[in-house]
Amino acid sequence: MSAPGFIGGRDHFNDFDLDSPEFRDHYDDVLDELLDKCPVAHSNAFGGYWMVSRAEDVRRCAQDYGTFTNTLGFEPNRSNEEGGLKLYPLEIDPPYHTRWRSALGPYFSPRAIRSREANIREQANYLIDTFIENGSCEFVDEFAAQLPGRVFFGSFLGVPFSELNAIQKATDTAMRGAASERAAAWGTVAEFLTSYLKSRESEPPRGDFVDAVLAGVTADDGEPCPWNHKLFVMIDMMAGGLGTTSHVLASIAHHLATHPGDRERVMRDPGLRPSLVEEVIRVYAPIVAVGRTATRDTEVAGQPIKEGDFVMLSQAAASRDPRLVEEPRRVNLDRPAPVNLAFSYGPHRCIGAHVGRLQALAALEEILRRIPDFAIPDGYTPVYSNSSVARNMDELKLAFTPGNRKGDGA
Amino acid sequence: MRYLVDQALCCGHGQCAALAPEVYGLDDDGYNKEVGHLADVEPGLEEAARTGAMACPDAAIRLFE
Repeated sequence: MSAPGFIGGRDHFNDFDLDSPEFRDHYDDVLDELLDKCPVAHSNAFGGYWMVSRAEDVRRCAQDYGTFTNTLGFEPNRSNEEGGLKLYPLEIDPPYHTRWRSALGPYFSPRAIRSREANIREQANYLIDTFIENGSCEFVDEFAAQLPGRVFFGSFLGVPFSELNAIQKATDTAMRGAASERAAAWGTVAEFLTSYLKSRESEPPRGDFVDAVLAGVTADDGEPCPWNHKLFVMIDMMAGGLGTTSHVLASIAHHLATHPGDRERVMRDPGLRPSLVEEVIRVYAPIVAVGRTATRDTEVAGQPIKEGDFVMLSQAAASRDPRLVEEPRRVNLDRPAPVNLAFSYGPHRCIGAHVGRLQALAALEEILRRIPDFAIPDGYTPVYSNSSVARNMDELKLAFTPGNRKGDGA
Repeated sequence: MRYLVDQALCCGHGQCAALAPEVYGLDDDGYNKEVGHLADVEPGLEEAARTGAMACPDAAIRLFE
């Protein structure tokens, strides 16, 4: 063993970088090493930032929005230039944040989203139909990266089926396309959401979250919030649920293909499926870390933090902190539900947690039902990437006994 | 001490019960089971009640000391 913090040739304690190949390729070991020995690591990337890993520290900082503001960006590059697109309510603080959460939250509660389940299953089966006759698929491209977008646009926004492929493709390019194509694709997505909001404005209310977005809330100056804030909320509701859910869907398939014991148990006992979903989200957390900016001099785990310093709070590390759960890296279907820090904590905890869980559960059940013997080709390992705040599985090849298409393509 | 869970704000994140199970319970759907009316905190459990209320992402729990 070399010096503490050195893994894969990089000093992750003093020269941490979310985007580094050394972190991407030694992901689990680096997170464990940080949790064990370096609760606040330092990065020299993007002008420098801190990386907070332990559950207790992440919780305390995430709760303390007075000391750690979200208004100055959430990614290490702090690309929060004036006039740019933002994600709201992620990038605002209470009390403005609280007004948006109060307006939106009720539309994302378990009761409110229950009616989406049939549509989610329909979308999942449509996607399975596109590859089931082949006996193999690239599960990320053909399923995991497709379903969350189809659910958001198709089920939540009611975009007609004929238009779904185009907007889904633009969104996919914006989130995981070639770097050179992303900006243009984001433009397309923003344009789509803008014209969608405009068209909904002239329609009778549907009683959905878009009505709440259009109604808006009071801004901090006491005036109705400006129009562009409504667009920022739409972008957040979309962006927050796409790549994250894709990673969870791919991780569920990968986990079951590599853990026959768990697969046998969830196959036999539907009651264990929600536990599998929760544990996969915890162990294979899609969000690595989300940033805050210190509003005053403070300290975290004994490390002095200066006013203006950028601090990444690591959901992925915190959710596998051995101080919080035993055998943290193991998916344990019998674990009593812990606080799942993969969804973060405090005011900015994931608003779509229940949607993500429902989608993962419905997808899991349809996959188990229609391609029950899916397996990973011999010697194959999936391809991962990190994109600052997120962990992505980019490719997962699966093989299975070919089956019959079920749907009529609609 | 007593607490009130705002019915409109409780979204079933279950954080209150996860952190302070001795104070907060959930109904079958995962919502705080006392939503909509004032409930008592047993003497000695005030700190746990505060921890659970602080954890609510939607600030749905109000404490009356």
